Amino acid sequence: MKKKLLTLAIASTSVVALASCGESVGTGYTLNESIGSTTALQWNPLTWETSDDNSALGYISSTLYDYKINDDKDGWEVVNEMAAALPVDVTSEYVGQFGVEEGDTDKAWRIEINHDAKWDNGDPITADDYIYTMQQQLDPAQMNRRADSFYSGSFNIVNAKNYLYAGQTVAFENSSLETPVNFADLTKGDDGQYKTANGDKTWIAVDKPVSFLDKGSIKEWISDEETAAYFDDTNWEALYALDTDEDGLVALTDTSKGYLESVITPIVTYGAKLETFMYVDSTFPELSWDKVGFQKHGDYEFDVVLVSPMEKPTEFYLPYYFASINLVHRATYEKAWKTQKDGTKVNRYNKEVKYTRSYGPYKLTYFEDGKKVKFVKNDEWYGYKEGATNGAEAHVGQYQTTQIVWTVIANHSSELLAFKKGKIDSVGLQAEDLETYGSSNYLIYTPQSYTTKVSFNTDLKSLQKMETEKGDGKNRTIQTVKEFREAISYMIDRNYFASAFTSAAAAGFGMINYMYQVFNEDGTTMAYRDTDAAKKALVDLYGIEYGAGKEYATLNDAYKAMTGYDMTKAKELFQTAYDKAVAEGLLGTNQEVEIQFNMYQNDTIYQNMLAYFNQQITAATKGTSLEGKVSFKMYVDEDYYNTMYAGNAQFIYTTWGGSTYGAFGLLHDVYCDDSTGNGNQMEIGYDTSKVAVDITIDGTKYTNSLQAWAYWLAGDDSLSASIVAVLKKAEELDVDTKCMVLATLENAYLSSFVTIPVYYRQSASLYSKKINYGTDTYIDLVGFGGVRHITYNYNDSEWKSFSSKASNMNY
Amino acid sequence: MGKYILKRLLLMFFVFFIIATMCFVLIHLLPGAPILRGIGVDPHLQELRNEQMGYNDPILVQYFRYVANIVKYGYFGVGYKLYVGQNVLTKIMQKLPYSMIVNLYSILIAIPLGLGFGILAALKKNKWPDHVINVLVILFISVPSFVYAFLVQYLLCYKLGWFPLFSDSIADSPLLSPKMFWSMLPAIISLGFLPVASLTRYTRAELSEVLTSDFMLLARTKGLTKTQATVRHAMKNAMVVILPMIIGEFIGILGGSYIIESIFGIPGIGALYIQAINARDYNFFMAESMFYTLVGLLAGIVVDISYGFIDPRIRMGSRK
Repeated sequence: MKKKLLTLAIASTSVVALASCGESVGTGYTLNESIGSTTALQWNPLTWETSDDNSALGYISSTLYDYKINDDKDGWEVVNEMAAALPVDVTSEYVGQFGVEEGDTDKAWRIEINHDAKWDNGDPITADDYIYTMQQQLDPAQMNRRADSFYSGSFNIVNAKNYLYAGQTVAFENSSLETPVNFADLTKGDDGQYKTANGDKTWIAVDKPVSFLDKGSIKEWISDEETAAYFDDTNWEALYALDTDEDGLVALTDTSKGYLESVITPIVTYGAKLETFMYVDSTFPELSWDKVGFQKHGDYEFDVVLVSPMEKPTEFYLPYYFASINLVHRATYEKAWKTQKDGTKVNRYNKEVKYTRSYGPYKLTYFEDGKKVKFVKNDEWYGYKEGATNGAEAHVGQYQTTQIVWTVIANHSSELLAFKKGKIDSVGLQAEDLETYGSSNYLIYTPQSYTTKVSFNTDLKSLQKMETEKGDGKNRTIQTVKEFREAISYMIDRNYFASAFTSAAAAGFGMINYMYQVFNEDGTTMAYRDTDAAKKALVDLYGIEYGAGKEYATLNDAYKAMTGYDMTKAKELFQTAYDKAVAEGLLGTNQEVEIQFNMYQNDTIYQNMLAYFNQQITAATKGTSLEGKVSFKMYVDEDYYNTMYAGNAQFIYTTWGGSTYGAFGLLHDVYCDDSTGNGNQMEIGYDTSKVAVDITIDGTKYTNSLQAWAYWLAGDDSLSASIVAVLKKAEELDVDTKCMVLATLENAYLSSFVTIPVYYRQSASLYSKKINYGTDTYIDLVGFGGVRHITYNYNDSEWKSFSSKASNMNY
Repeated sequence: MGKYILKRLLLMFFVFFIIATMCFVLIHLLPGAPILRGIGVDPHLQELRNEQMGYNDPILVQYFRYVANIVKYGYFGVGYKLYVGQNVLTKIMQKLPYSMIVNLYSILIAIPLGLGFGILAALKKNKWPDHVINVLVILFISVPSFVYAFLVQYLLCYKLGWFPLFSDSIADSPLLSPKMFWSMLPAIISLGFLPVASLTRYTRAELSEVLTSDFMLLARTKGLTKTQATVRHAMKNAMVVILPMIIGEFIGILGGSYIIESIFGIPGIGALYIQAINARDYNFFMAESMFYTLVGLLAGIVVDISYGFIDPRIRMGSRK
């Protein structure tokens, strides 16, 4: 008995001792964060891919310029970090070189770098580091993932792409070429393959992405039963068999041309032709670095020469684009090369701790795969040093965090438990969490650029085809009647919908949400949605009146009161829609209506959403001739976007977002397909080239199509020649006029009710009682201030004590 | 027996080769792999990167190159989307010990418990201990393991605070240290529920049948006590079925620990397989597929051979 008791006592003591074992906690300030996984984590500036990669890179690097919260805490301001000053326009020094011509401006920029910047091992950082990094970034042998950041879009460095592609022959899609090739201009070679005047070979893309097919390939479309009908498969096998090397391209010969023309016969009426499916070879000659517009000017200066002048306003875009340049440490980078057993070479720089170098406020000191990553203060960072350029004086009150620890937590419930135990300092919330934490003082919302809408197919032919194919006697064409769609818009209580079915979204009323910024003349930004023109567009859309003697005194009052929810109006509109549909012969007097709702999946949330739509339409049609006759039916369809593109869906969710500085291009990019249907528009059957929109500019009224206006506003002349002929370029207009044009177009598009905004996406998260963010309100570019602005209410040991009491951890 | 083992090994390699080939072809046939077509990504840059990796070559060419690299150098390639540029085999070997150790602890705990409960239930058949055990067995077999994993984490780690929420980092405690074991215990317990329940069920069923056999009556009439008869005769006979099942359980745990690893922060290989498929990382997918295939096939052979050792009357490969 005694022996047993002794054993038990030893065991109990061991258990207690083991349980009480823990990490030693100091008086520093540790920011504990969670990440989902480290399997794809790398902090390499040349190859990073994920947002976690970017965060890690942000801790261990300093960009040339950065953004911080302004003193009023209502916006951002640019600060110099690795740069000693803002870039200087030196275009005139490059006339005659790099394609710079006399009179050009804003093309060549000189940047002086911070003389006190050092690597974490004490090595000084000079212009050579920037040149070396860019040479590695654009090295043709490495084909680094981030290389295209320096030749795509507006930040296009002279010959950056040519240097990267040097020595290669690459087949480009014909439609992507600056001057697309016409078959009539080709000549047949001795081998039967057609070539351009330059001798470049031409190909037919059988299994390569083609813009006309929404970046899909013929093979993908013909293999999918939803889209197969767009092709004649008689000669498809013969054509595909010609791709003997399986690279997705077939030499353009008389034989392959004949096969292709037969295969695409059904879509010729949509504008498809041989050239649509052509790829053309381009050969890039060898190129030396001195031809690339990225040159050293002195030990601490380098020049960047761009193909086009820096986007305006330059005050904004200069720091914005130059912030994308991060460095590699030459000696470490070269040591990090490893030749694999099959002879291939891989570089381990900033993928393993051993080959990691930092030059930011923190350095990465520990990486345990699938478990933990640690960053500690980098004592060599200029920002901590008194008297250094952009030194401690420029960072007063910033970077209080002494250590950052990332813990891998793969699932949400564990993450929430860890947060409540004080192990992590912030946690993202899901819809069900908001029932508990919806009123927490530690809750913050992060808006996203995405707006979720419901979009209709209004193409009568495809809807009639669907009716015939279903053969159930139910009507599917009534949705071509505008009043029917408008009624559906009014029956949605967006505030309820957002709170009931999403984690944290806000009710959405417009196509463009609050994240989209437009530039003032001085380079500062404002939200498009906050402009009077944008507010008026929505107030008018939802029929809210304001002004003297009206329900709302001012535009702002009306805008604030806007809900877009009016069941009485919905009822009236359903009756009108019924009358019209019957009169037009679309609907039988007693015919049932089914709206096929293609949804990504049928989980509880989607089922609840569907139930809501059905509940609302049942209520809204009550007492009308459509009572009891209309219903939404779910069709699970993971590929619902393409189903809609192919005209085989009636009604889907559509969500667009993207660059928050691209508001003026949004309608062009995703809402107004070109004349051949190319583009991303999901509102099938809505032809924006046939929607007339009147806009008054400088006192003169101009009438043109919605499509032409959208193209003109985006600076794309291809379909806006008629506007360009009578008006100056949109980019030359003042910001108020551009916002007015955009608002008019947004109103015009939404007034058709082919798409109905439902909610603006945003995410919710909790932050711990240990920390304070720089701001409680999300600010464009700086968010809540990040680690730069985080301050602490408790040091690590105080927090350990505080968080050990469960009563302290209520949020 | 040697001839039999050799024959089985040869057949195993044949099956292994077929499965590996099928995996290789199937992953390469998945649409869109591994090209990125995101906005802002130069599609030609992606194409050229694929070219460098040899992904644009015909599948047969890629396959023979892949096999040649394995045969010649034991080289399984580098990560393309996961652990970019890092050696696949090295990475898997780094992660394997975590999964192996947790699973091993789990099965080592599960075996005595499962056998014990099974024996108890068989000996107390149709009495209250048997009923209680049966109810628990049904419960733990029916409920998915992640459900009680979450319960274990919530109750034992969060509410009672007996264990940390997640397994320790090796920076804080070595892999085989008691402290690491303690931190892994919630995962081990969660992993153990199902094998304990399965073993209990099988042991009870087999033992119940054996206990009613004629030879058991003979053993008792020879003068053996119930315990002696059970341990010496009944258990040995029952083990012919139970032992292969134990080996099968080990394999089952190895393949199914993904969710448990995720919940308790075990940096094992469980999650890697799913991530490799989702990311279309061919090399990780292939290496892991081959690993699991090989383990499964070897386990099959070991199970078959074990029959001969457990019951000498079973002669493997004998024609007579």
